[in-house]
Amino acid sequence: MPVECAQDGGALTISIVGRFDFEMVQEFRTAYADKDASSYVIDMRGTEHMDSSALGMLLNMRKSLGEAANISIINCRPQIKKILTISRFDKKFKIE
Amino acid sequence: MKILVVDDTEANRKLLSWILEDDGHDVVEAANGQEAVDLFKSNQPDMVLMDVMMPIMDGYEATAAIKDYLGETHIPIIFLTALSDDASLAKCLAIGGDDFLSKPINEQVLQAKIKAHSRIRDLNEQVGAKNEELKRLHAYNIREQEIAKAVFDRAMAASMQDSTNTRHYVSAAATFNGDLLLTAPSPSGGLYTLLADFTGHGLPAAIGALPVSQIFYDNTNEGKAVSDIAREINRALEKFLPDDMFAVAAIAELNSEGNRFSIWSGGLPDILITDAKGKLKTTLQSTHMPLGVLPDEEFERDVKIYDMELDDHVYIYSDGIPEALNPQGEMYGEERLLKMFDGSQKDPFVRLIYDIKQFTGSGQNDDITIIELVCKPTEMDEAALQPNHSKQLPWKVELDLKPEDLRGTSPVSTLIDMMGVSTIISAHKDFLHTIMSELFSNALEHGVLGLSSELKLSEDGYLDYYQQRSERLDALNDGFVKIAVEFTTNGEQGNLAIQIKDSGEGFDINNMRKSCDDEAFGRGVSLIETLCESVEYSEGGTRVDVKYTIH
Repeated sequence: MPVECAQDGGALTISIVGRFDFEMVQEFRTAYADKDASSYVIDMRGTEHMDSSALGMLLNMRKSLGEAANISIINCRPQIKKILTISRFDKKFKIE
Repeated sequence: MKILVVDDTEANRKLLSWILEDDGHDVVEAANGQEAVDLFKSNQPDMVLMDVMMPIMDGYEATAAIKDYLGETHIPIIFLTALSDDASLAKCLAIGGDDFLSKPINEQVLQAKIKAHSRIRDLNEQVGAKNEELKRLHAYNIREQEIAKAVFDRAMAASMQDSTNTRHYVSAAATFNGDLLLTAPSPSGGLYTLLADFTGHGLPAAIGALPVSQIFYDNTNEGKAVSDIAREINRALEKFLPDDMFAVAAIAELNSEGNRFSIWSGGLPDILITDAKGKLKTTLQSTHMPLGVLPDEEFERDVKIYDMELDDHVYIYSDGIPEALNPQGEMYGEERLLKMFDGSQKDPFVRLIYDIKQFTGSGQNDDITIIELVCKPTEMDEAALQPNHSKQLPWKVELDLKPEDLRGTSPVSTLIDMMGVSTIISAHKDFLHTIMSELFSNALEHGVLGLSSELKLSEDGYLDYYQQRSERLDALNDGFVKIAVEFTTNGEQGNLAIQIKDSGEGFDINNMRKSCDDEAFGRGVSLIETLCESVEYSEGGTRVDVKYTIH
């Protein structure tokens, strides 16, 4: 499964494996929609690449969970971190 | 189901008809191959039971004719044969038959085979219908792509042709990749360029391109500041596009002398600046969220301004270049890209495009959008569009900022917007924003709050600095920053006199001059000096006077 979901107490961890692009749109949305979680962690340990539609999917997640929701993006490879940095996603997400 | 029964013996036909009709099927009877072919065409049955040995035309020939007539449509043909040698049975299937039944017919086997073949026929029908649907969608998609391409070609056609200052390359791919590249002259003889990469491809991406190109041309025509153009486009995209659609983009302006470069960029790969020999001098990283993400009130207008040397080259490109794939699925990558700019290439622009085409091996299907700007005087006709200074009225604005005013967001943007109402100042907003932001934060941080800029030298110090800044600002009880801006004109040129005073202790003016050479924090001051006519510190370093000329 390219998108894996695990809940530990209140924190929901979504792991994305392989290419994070438009083909994941449905799976990604299902991973966080209608879940009861106090915080959300997107684990990019296994993410090899992300494109601009993945950025769009992250923004959609932010919009749908609200500005107050605690969403962090962790374990980014340098290339992915760069994409998040040049798009200033640190303004909307906690990037670790 | 309608079943065509073909047999030259009437008794056999009647027997089969009786069984089949009893099971609820409609039966059409043919007495030889020729009749079978004719009746097949006129009755369009769902299945055929075919005898082999018949007069006029045998079962083999009739089957071949029917299958030929059907083309890709699947209608099962089951041979009924008294022959039992392997070669004859094999021939039944080889000729296009789907199965065979041995005579005399066993009723149960016949019924089972009809059921099995009816399932296969249904499946085939579904696949066929899906195929048709796919074909239709594919044609529709191609049509949409053509529309998208036409929309973009038109938007870009209004763009300037390459001039002595620009060269560009945009893939001639059949479908639109979401990249938009526009250039336009500014009324003061400079040159604007915009490169935007929309999320998605084809028609959805083209929708966003329409307002972007319209706003770009309208605003550049009026000589608007880069930050204002970025803000306008952001506002339009944020308002009209769904949340997950946006454009990573760079909007830049080169002045008419070709020595000053202003840029707003969000989400684009690093912009490259090389010297005249094509050797990389510096890279500019994007500092903003893409256009169309943030609501207007959160939009950040900061534009970076750079002093350029003659024949410096600037390269702005979309991620199609670093992310170009070779047949093995490997990316072109930043390393290969930067190697083109190590100073060894005579023409890195042409060499880069060639190298990517070699790398991807695709020839036509590349996804490249790149523009090269050469920093030298633009040689554009500016006389016709010079603003008329004589009609401008002089004015003066004064702000007296108390602690509660200083704690909020920076007053500079508000002040610049007030000044920008004056049309001839509007084109200078980005420079003025840079100058005034720098002077204001110096007055606030080093003056009123008494922070030492040396703190910023180390990376930890940087954090310390902002920590202390916020603590001291919260605790501030008295103190002030006074800003006065005065505009005068003599009919030939406009003059802005900007004065900023603070309540701080001041500093040793001569000492500050020296520290300006320092990379980490002196850059702001030296840039201001190149942007302004004059910069004068007085009153023990608590007052600065700046003169700025509007030609």
